[in-house]
Amino acid sequence: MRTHLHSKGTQFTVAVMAALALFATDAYAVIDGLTGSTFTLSAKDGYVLGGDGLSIYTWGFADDTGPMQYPGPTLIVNQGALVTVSLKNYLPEPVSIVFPGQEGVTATGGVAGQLTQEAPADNGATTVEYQFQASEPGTYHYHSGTHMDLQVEMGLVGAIIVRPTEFPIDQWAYNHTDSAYDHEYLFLLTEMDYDVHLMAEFGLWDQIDTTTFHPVYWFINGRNFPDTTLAADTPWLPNQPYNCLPRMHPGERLLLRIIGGGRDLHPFHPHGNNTTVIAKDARLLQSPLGTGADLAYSDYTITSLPGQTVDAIFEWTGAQLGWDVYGHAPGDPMEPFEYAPDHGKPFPVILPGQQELTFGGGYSGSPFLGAAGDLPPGEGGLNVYGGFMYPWHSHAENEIINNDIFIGGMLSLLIIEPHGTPIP
Amino acid sequence: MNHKMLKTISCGVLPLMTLAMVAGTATGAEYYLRAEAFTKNLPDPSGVGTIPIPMWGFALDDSFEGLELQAVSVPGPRLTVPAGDTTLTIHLDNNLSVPISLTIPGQITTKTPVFFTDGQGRQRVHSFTHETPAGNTTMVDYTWTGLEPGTYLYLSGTHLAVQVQMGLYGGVTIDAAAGEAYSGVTYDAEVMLLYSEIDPALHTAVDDGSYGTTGPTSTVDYNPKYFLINGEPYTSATLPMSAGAVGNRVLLRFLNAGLQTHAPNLLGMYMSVIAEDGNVYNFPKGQYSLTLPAGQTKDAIVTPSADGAYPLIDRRSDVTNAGGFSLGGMVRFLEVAP
Amino acid sequence: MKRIRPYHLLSLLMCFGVAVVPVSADIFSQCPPDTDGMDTDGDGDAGNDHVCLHVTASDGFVNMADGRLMYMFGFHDVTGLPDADVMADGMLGAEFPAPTIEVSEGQKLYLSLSNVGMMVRPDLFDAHTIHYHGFPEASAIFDGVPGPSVSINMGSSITYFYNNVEPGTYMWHCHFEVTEHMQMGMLGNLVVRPIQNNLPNLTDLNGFTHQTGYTYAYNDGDGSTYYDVDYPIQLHSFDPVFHDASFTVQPLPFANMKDTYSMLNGRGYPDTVNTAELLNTADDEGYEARYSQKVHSLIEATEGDKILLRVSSLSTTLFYTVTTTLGVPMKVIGRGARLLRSASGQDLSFETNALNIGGGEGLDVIIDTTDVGPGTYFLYTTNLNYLSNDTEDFGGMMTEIVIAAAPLAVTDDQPPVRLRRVDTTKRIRGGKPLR
Repeated sequence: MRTHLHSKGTQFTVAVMAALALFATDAYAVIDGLTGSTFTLSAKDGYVLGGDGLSIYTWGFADDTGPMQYPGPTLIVNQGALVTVSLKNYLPEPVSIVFPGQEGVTATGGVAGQLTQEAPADNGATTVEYQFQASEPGTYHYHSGTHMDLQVEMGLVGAIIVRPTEFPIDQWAYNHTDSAYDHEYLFLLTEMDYDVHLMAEFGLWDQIDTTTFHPVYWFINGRNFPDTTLAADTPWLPNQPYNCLPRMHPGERLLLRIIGGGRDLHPFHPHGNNTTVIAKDARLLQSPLGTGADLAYSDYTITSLPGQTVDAIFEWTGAQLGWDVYGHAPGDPMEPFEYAPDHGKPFPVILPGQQELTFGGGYSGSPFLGAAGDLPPGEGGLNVYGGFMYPWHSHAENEIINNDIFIGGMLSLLIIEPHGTPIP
Repeated sequence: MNHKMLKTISCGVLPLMTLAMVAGTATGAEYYLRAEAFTKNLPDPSGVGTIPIPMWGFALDDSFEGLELQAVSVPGPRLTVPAGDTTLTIHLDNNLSVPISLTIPGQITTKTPVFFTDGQGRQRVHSFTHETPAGNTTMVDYTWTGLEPGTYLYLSGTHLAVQVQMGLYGGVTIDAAAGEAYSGVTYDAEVMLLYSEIDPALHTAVDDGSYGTTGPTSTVDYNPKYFLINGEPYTSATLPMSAGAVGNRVLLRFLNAGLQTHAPNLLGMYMSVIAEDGNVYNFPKGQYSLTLPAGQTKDAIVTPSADGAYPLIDRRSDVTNAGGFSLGGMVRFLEVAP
Repeated sequence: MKRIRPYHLLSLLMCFGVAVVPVSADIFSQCPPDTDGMDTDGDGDAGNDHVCLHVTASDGFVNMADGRLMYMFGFHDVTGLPDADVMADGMLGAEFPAPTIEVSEGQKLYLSLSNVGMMVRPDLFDAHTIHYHGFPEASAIFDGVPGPSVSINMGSSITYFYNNVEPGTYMWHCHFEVTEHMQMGMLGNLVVRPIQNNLPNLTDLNGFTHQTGYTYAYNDGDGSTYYDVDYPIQLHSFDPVFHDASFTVQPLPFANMKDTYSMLNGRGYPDTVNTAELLNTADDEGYEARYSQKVHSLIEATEGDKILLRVSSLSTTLFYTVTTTLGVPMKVIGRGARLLRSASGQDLSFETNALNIGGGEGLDVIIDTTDVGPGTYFLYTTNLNYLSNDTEDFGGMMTEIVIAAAPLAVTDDQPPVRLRRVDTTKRIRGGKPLR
């Protein structure tokens, strides 16, 4: 409906332009997070900004004395490390942390809760210490183990990445070459029921009923589209430091680390090509007698289950399109990873005239990778390298909105950049 | 059919009596089930007191309208078919006010669906197989042949949208051999975990007759408030479930008789997920999380390396009793002995 | 900062002799002849590998199984119709689901989309696109996502091109203002048949003998995905409040979207089992009544048949779980338009009774009916509360599976002769001549 288009167009434009303007920084180099093996997480309240600009009262884990974060800090540790997480609580009810997929977690200090030791609501006076050996590499997460139906909803969730012993000699997610990648990106998927946050903000605890769950915001790494595509650590999103803007060149391997951090299943659909799922719950899909991810499978939509983590590899070369995706003339030199049989093959159809088309801001004016073409005044402009952009989003399409405004939510963009384009 | 009277019941612990049975001949298991309305008391969300919920359930009798071996319950009694039996017969006694029927998804039987004609002359199914009329005076039999081992649900096959959520469901387990869930899949201990939900508003409407008349006319607004494992939500009084000892192969049988997908997450241990709906995977899956869609069963083996109480939580956050603030719903602790 | 490569669209296209601005804004379907001299689909004919289809995008109406008339947006098949007649035929032609597109591996699909506008909503001037969901190694221009590419305006046509190299079960839908346009109904089934179907008679497939006429889900190399009958079964759901808001020009309730009609191939039970095309009651609202629900879901097979269900979901909101009452398992042999076999050759297929499937997910399922007696069975959602057509129960996401008795006469050493049923499912078939 046309009345919604203006908001989409504007947001898309602002976001992508901001993102592109910041490409020169290191904000995209690796998955952001805290490295080491000893961490202090403080459960605090604060506000996150929805993609529609609304302030949402949120609980989150902070890096010690830092600001509340949604999601909590991504903890990046090395395989074999003895990991210590100290929890302090500045929230109005007891909080704890559980670490799915970790075995032999010990908890000391605080007060005995039902799932684990809890830090009481004492404004940070008590410290609970959780310890575990990060024995196996992979993608994990942590979340509150207290009053979960409210506290996870309120934001007490974060990612853990355990680097394999092979890392960084080999850029692998697990100790096998099947998990090798050129770029890695985190997709921590969550959702929020705004009414619950509003009632919590005003202390209307007796009105909160988590069985009437009705989410209206859907997040990747704590942001809604288009904010997902902004740079990390953008100053105007002080409580949402993480972004999600995957980029790669043809022929490269992109690792998706997908975490079901909320309550709902999400059918996550990376446009552009199938992905190969290589691991679930931080275990390579490996047969008992096999090696590597010999049980890996290909799919065009990845089901994300609450509490589950999925690692998948995405590759793209534009092979077998039946036309030359670079728009080469037959005698032109080949691009790296170009599909030779299509080299120089002409574009197969006649595109409509400009007056017949509605142009997207990410359209370069050319159907060819690394090329630009003529556009009417004011159109395009967001695709400075002539890359191919693909939405990576929840295919429950009601989840790519921000409250009542289309477009937003659980959506980001993959950009396949022409060779030579810098990707930090 | 061999009409020996076999009524093997178990409540979460491996029934060793199957070991005593004579194996080798194909025999049939036989049960008498009675369907009946009853009232279940569930915790008030305030944490104080209970709320009565009208339910429908099954109970085990020793013969048709004979000795009542059990009170009616939700879920219905677990039917543990002795290893080696190839047929299962359930004789049904329906004390409800509506016709019902029985299905076991994943097992083979001859089905005679019952249709009715709607106002536009279209045929619609009322029951997936033959019905047991309300207040039947002669028993109605449901027989499955060529039984396949595994973990299954039995459910009403009539007006499912209403009857299943009212409580007409239970678990059936069929082992390949004693202590062997499937051929080659042995276990030392087992835990049965049957998930289901209750929407009190629907139960009340069905019970007081307003469903389909002055109240809701379909189940489309289903909004469950209680989340049960083996018929009970978690409360602070819920005891841990015995899950064998360190080094045991412990079989976790997950069944979902609810209408929604659940996501059991086991903390502190990985499971080896081996089968779904009685079908063994080519390769087991090593996960701490499990997708448990409505109507599905999954079997997993855990081999604990340390004793303790391992939390099993529904990561869909159905861990509350009607929105109350105490831990409730689909939570259990699996107690592993040293 | 790196400079854009010095390609220039205009000069490039000109050098291939392709006009950039072909005609004035008008309906314009494209169908270049197949002159490459190669038989890419393996049917023995080097000149028939181009498949040209033409669909319109418009608004229209469908009836839910409880009789409720629902305003919708949708696609309509105008393949073969002269371009000059497309506007008139396309207006109010929206179908739910969209026509099933069926092509073969190796075929090149020229899929023309003409935007014929919204007759009921003249205030709207929405553009449209086609997203071929799951197409491998997609290019941005033919991926149909408005932001990174182009969308077609009212009164005009765009032709999408797809070189079909991966067989499997796909979907297609409009991606323009996608939450709205999908909720409104612009979605359908898409099937790519494998080239293995075209093997010479009696080809040995690792011990399985292929015969002319045999069909497979994938190029399995061993006959493991052989089937006798196949049915695309797509899961859909509608929110009547959203549709009514669109019809009455009200703000659209995105945040409160709640689907209460759960459907298979665009219909709720019992309409799912009606093999006829359904005429809508748009005349009640003063519009022309059209046949807008052309895809039924009645699954028919003969005892012993292998049934391939191509199950996909384009629900805009919900995951659904579906099961059958057959008593025999469903064998999931493919997902995401790929054979469930790993790169190292491991057999990843599995048997189940319950398919849990969210929007944009697709599964290929083979049911072997050898142990199933003749009779009527059901395929239905185990999210039992959705066995309803909004406030009407005994409906919703359910259909029937009718197994007929096997023919008695079976000769000694030959495989049983199977009755090849006429497929009454409405499909746009690849290979049918244009014009």
